[in-house]
Amino acid sequence: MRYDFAAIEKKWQDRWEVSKPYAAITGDPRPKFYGLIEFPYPSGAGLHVGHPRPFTAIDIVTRKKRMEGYNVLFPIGFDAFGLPTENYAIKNHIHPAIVTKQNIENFTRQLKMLGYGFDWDRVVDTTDPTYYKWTQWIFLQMFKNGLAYKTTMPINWCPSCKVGLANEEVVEGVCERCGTPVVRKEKSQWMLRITKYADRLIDDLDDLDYIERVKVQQKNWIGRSTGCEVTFKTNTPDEITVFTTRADTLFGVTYMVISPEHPLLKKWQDRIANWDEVAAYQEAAARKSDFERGELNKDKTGVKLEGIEVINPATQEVVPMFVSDYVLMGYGTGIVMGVPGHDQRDWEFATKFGLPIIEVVSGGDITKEAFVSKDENAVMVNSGFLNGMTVKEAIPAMKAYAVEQGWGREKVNFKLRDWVFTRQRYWGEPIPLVNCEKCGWVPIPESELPLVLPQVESYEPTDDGESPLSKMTDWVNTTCPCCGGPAKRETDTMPNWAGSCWYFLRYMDPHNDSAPVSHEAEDYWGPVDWYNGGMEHTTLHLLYSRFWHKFLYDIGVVHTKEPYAKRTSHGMILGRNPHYVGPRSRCPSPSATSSTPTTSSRPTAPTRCACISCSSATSRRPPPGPTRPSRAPSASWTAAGT
Amino acid sequence: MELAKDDFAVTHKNEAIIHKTIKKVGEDIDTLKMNTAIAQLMTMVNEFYANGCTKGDLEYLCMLLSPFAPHIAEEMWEQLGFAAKHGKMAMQMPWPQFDEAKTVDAEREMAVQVNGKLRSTIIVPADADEETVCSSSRPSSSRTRSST
Ligand SMILES: [Zn+2]
Ligand SMILES: [Zn+2]
Repeated sequence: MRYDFAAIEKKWQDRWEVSKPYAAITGDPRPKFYGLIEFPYPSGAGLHVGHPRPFTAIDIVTRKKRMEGYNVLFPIGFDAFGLPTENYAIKNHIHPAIVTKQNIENFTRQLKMLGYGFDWDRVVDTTDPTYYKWTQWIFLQMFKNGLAYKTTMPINWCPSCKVGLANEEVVEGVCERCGTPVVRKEKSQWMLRITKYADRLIDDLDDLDYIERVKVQQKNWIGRSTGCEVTFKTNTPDEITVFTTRADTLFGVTYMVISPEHPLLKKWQDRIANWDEVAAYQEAAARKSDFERGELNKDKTGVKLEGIEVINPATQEVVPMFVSDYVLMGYGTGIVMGVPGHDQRDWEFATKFGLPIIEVVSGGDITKEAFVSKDENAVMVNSGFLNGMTVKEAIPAMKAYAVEQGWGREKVNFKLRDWVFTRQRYWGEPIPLVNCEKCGWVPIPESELPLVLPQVESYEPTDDGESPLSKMTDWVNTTCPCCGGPAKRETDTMPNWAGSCWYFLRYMDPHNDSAPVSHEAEDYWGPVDWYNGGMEHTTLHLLYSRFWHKFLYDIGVVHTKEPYAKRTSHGMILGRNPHYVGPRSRCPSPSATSSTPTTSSRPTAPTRCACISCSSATSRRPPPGPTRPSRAPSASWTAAGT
Repeated sequence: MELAKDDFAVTHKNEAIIHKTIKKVGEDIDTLKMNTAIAQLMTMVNEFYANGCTKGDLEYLCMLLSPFAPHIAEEMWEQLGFAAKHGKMAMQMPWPQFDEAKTVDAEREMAVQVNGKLRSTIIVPADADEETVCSSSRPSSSRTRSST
């Protein structure tokens, strides 16, 4: 028998279109099952091989669930803000909304051809003002609850995309999207205080049915470590504080290092005899990316601060202080203590600058290299009252002593940083805030949501990196909702990850115009029973959306602490190279990265980009701290960009 | 499909493979092992060819195939008359239940060796005790097949 699939598949798709066997019914007495896949970015290229794999898996699961008597919600939507559409719009002078509409139509047609059991009456599109009205609303609630704040800080800047990047979007020192080496740039940015949720984002993983790899990656990314904050006196009126997980090695401290961005340097300008040298060093450091300063920083550089002395609180001995770019302002306090006997990086630094190296944990040969054994039973030496104790005993003993002496306290530290939540681009959700000279940043009234994107002449960011919205004076100038005086709108837009932070809630109640989701619908459908997607979203989308969901739980919008009861993740279908950079010309230039080849721990791709920087890059690791799993962008969301 | 007997009952000989397949496919879907689920469905179809099958056997195939290949499953379902019989699409049917006892093969093939040489194979009930097996291995047994 010949199977005329073209005719037969069409016949059934047409029937399903009419009879809607995949309709999910809110409130139905059958048990519910909510299966979710990561919604696609509707690129101009249409579906690619990365889409059907996770979609098909949950399609099969949900089809069986329906037959098992469940009321199934298996929805689809489009995560449609993003750079490729914007770039296409710039090039062809077409409004990105029109491009998006065409691309969504194409995706819809293709997805229907594959016969997925989606409930097509629940489609969401993150660029639809009726959708992003609620993205803006959630942002405003965060602002009102002190979770959104504006600050000037050095950010990761992609000179090619002219856009600020979150740490999570910088892979091995280059822009995740285009492969250009990322530089640092001072920029006023909206930030979301995800760090406030760091503990809960770790602790609540315990009760979830996530594959273990996802849990481990999230925990490593958040990077919680319990240690000790130690205060050192100096020969200035200022005290300095460092964070350490190894208080037991305090007797081995022979120098201190301060980050080039640390504000104390400026304050100490008159005390530092070699200020010109220090200032020149600061300037040079500013031109490097965090990645160059950390991972690729093989040759330790630094300048001694002449005239600054620090007193080791354990020994009362005076130690010198250096400025060095391997210390980043973003991690810990921006100052670290140098323990060259037991940290290889410190050992190299001390050797280079002729600093004393003291053995405080016995077992190695510190004349040859640092002794960095993790052996908790190694014995303390040259450490006063700690002598003879094991490392395991010495850590709490020193902590207790420091607390008792008043110069130390227990402290939990996280590697996770607050989330840079602005982009200087057109095609994103406008941030619904205005700046008034008198009142500062003020939210626009909720009744004025959605704040829609105005029509602009050009979608290109300005050369100084401002959003194209900044040129729209009529739109920018407004009145303060608070005092009625003149005010200016925020011209930055939200990052691409905003819309996907809560889309799974919108599917439950996609047409609601009075709330992001009704209590009734959320009570019935929440949480997502099974979420299947890509491993590469573990530290981006999955973490961000758990954070938003927890905030929505805190303000009573949702009834569960966690959005997804079960998460499975598959690896990636890799293209021609793991950077997914496209044309060779967009690979990082050789001059921008270290020429020292290092071991790559990235997943192996069938063919690797031949450019030197790609072959010399390593998995990205923020200094200092445990290794992060290597990541490469996915087939499905990478193209979305910010 | 044309080969199927116009009978809505399940073929006795296919009962074990059908129940085994219901069990295996169900478990595999729950753990996303789609490849082994498909392999099991192919095994079942091969047995249908070997044993002959009825529409009743194919009814199960349609339902089990439905999550993986919904178009062809519905088309077969309709052409075999089940859409009319049940007034439902295959995808709207209750997921088939399996009987653990029936997932065990009713019969098993055993080799008969004499002085280390393969003499013949016999078919015995899967739960047959030693005595039964020994008696059926004697040449007098009507179920003995020659190995040559
Ligand atoms: Zn870029
Ligand atoms: Zn005002």
